[in-house]
Amino acid sequence: MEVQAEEITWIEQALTGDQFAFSQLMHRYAGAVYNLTYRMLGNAQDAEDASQEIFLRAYTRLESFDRSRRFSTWLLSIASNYCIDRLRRRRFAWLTLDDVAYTMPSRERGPERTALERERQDQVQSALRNLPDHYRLVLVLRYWQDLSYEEIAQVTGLTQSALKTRLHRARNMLAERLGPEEQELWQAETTVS
Amino acid sequence: MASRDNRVVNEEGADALMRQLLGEALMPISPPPDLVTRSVRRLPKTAPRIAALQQAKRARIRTLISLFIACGFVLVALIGMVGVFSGNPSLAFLFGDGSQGISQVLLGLHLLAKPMIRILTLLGWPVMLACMAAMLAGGWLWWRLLPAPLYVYAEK
Repeated sequence: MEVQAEEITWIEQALTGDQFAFSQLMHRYAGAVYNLTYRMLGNAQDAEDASQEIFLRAYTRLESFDRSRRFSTWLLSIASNYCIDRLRRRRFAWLTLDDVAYTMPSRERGPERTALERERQDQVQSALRNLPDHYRLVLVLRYWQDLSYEEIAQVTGLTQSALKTRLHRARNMLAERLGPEEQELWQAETTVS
Repeated sequence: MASRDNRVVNEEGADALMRQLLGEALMPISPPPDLVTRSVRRLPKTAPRIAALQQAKRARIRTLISLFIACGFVLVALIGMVGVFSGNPSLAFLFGDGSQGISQVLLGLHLLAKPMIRILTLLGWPVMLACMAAMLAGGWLWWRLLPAPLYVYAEK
């Protein structure tokens, strides 16, 4: 509750043109916005550009923010719409070598655990990238942003029943793409014997 | 054999299992340290209400300019078509004698378009419509068959 009151104060100050107050909001949500854009767009450069654009949009639309809602939900709905729009427009994405280096497993020698974690991260990111955009979005909001069903429904504009159906399908699709072992485990645990 | 439809839809169980499968990959990634600083630099210097009004004004101007350019292209195309069908490249000669500059370009386009339009009119409207339908279908297919972005690796 205190967090929300603090945010309302920052929003009111930002509405008068106080950029420092808005930067406080940005500091609080930079991680959430960046993680959402990274998981949705699939590379660091696009995620950074998108995050900046999303904050710019949030600033210019700040007056339309309904104070009875949570700021995080409102901001993530702007971010989600932006990512979906960007993916729709993007049919050819130019991936720079820097991005490739970012997403490829490190060749440096390190503890085995780190290497395995990195490999797993890449595998999950690749599986996510191969999902249709709207399915990827609900998974990212649920598992990476840790939002409740109600919050995801608010962000995406879906009804709760439509959201559950989409999430159910998205989970199945992701499990299929994670690898044979994961797919087997998923089917064993979620299938009527 | 089990099918997708007879799976148990236990939200909590499926949720927990998915988290288990994703494991370490759920760890958040740190944003670039200067992300906020750079985002602040991009913010307008005015209050959000004024910034929104300015943005809307810019969008209206962009739309008007786009419409103006599109109308220009349509006008040139229409005049060009009339020129091709009538056999008189009048548009090209509005800008000169066809030997240089924009007049030469328009005359070149007129001469290029002429045989194509002649072939199409020779084949008749059904073939013309079929060609247009094939082009639209091709475009639609291209759009549908590339649902995921195609990554092209390039050096910065």
